[in-house]
Amino acid sequence: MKSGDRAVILLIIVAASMAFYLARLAGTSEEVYAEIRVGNVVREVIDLSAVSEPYTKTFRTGNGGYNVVEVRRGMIRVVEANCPEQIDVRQGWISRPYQSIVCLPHRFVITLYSQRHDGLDVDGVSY
Amino acid sequence: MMSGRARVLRLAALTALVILIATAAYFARRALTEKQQPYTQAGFAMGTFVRITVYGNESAKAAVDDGFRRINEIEALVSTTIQGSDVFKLNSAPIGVPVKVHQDTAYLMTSAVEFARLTDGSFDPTVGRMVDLWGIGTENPRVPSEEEIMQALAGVGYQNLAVDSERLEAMRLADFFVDLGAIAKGYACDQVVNVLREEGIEAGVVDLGGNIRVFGVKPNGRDWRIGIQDPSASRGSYIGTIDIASGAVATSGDYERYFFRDGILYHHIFDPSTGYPARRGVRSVSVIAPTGMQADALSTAFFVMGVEDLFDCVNRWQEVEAIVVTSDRRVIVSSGLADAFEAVSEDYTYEIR
Amino acid sequence: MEPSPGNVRQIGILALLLAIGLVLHSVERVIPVPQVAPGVKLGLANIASLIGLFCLPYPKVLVLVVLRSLLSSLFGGGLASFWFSVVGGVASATAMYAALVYGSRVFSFVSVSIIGALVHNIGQLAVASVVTGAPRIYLYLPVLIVSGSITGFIVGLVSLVVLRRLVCVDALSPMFSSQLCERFLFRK
Repeated sequence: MKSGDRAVILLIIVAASMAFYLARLAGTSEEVYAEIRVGNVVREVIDLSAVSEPYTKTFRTGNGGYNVVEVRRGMIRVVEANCPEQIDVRQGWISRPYQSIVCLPHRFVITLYSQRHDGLDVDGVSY
Repeated sequence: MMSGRARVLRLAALTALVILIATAAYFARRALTEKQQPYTQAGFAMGTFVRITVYGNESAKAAVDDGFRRINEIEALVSTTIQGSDVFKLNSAPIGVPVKVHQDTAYLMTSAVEFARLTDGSFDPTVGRMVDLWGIGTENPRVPSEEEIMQALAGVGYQNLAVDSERLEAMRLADFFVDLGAIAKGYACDQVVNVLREEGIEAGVVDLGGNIRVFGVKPNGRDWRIGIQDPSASRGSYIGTIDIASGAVATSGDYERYFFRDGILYHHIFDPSTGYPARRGVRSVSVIAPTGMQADALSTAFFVMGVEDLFDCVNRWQEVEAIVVTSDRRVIVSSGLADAFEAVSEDYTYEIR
Repeated sequence: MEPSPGNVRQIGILALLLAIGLVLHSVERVIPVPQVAPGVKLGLANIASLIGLFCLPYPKVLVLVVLRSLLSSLFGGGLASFWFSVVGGVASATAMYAALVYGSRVFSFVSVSIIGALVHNIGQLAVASVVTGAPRIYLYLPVLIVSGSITGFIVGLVSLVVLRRLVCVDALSPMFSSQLCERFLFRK
């Protein structure tokens, strides 16, 4: 083991620790969270990257309306709802930041956000 | 066992290494946390999902709250369903009788008539009866009969709406209903930006049901990047992005409000000359213009006009650009956007006009 | 410049190593690698570069690298991949050359290979930062150093074994620089 070798090993150790530090600072790259709101009220915020077991949850939206949400790691969808057009159910799974599912009759909205604001994603989508 | 010189060399190298790492760590930390975190607030207003993002300071929340309040104010004036609104009162008043309206309403109506004139009636604020007849967006949409459509069509025409901006009065000259839905949201965007600016917010994005208005300079100095919705994918997925420094983007598409009957899709953007949903092979038109009101009105007008005519207009009007997504999976981008536009989806072919 | 027998032999070796490098490059595309950062690759083609440094003069090694980048980008990868390969490859070959010639007392064989891999990654990162215009991309450097060390280590072990075997074949041993062999292959 020569001295240069030791220098190289030292460099690797330093780099590895820096990598850990940076990773903690920036959050994991796939961190997406879902914000579920009815009207102006945020009912729930779910960190999709931290979901281990898939589950479903029902949200009552007033006037007898309801939407059933299914959550899996990294994705979410409305699996059942009693709104007339069923547009939200038909959308299926969403998993990327800025995607959203809207049920207008129930004023029920699921929006996905990402922790990263590195200027590489959009400031808005015109639809 | 090392000579003195080698020892000094090694010490120097070690020191340099430590300094390098420290500097790198400092810059890394700065790069990640310096970016001013934007303040975002979302809610429901004007019957749609609204999201306001501002880069400001402590007063951000108060300013954004005022922004929402302004949207509600405008809705209270132009809604066709709220009983006390100016539009409701005008639609319920007898024909030929003037009705007092607020300044906002008068301004909106005057602008609407002007847009109708500019687009030869493709945009028309007098299509209210159509909207009611078809019932799109309500629980009971239906396909009206030809006679019903002809009857409702009779009163349609922007010349039949008279507005007096000085006396703040408006009057119907024929049997039609006023509907400002295709221009109100864009106007509201502009108004919100005014409110935010007045309260000291220097930069931000207003997203009112897909009508987007940006203002100011982003903290990192770059342009605002706006995605254009993919008509065939879930909301938030886009076919491409444009980088703009300021202005507004509005999109009219057949995928927002629609219903199916006997296998045919009926959407909510009517051709004011036929009374039926416009069918010119266009799935969506996005307009980029200096103000939200322009973008909103023109996106509707262009959707009705179809590809050829709308690009005629775009070429005539310098400050207006457009992106069209057609039914045969093409994306046509006006030449003024060639540098700012970036394609993102592999399912479409892209062209510039 | 008249082709001396030695020169011709070197060109032959170059061609052989070029072919080997290309095959390794294609093979490594098939092997799935966890993509923790942009540009994480096995870098197996460095085996060819490293062996080349032991039996070819430095300029010919550069030729080897440039040709390999050119051909592999033609086979699929496009212009962008060419720049990534060539900058990384030239930088890494140069760094390894310097380490071999001047650092024989300080570095062992595997370290040289690790250095080569690290410099290769840094070169690719530099190209990426120019292409994307985002200096922010250097934030990936620590991760790349770690992954580069791992791949450099693997490449180093493989090259060491191969070289030792090759050098012991009587017919082949004259091709290799005896200086380098002595300093790097048979001490430990």
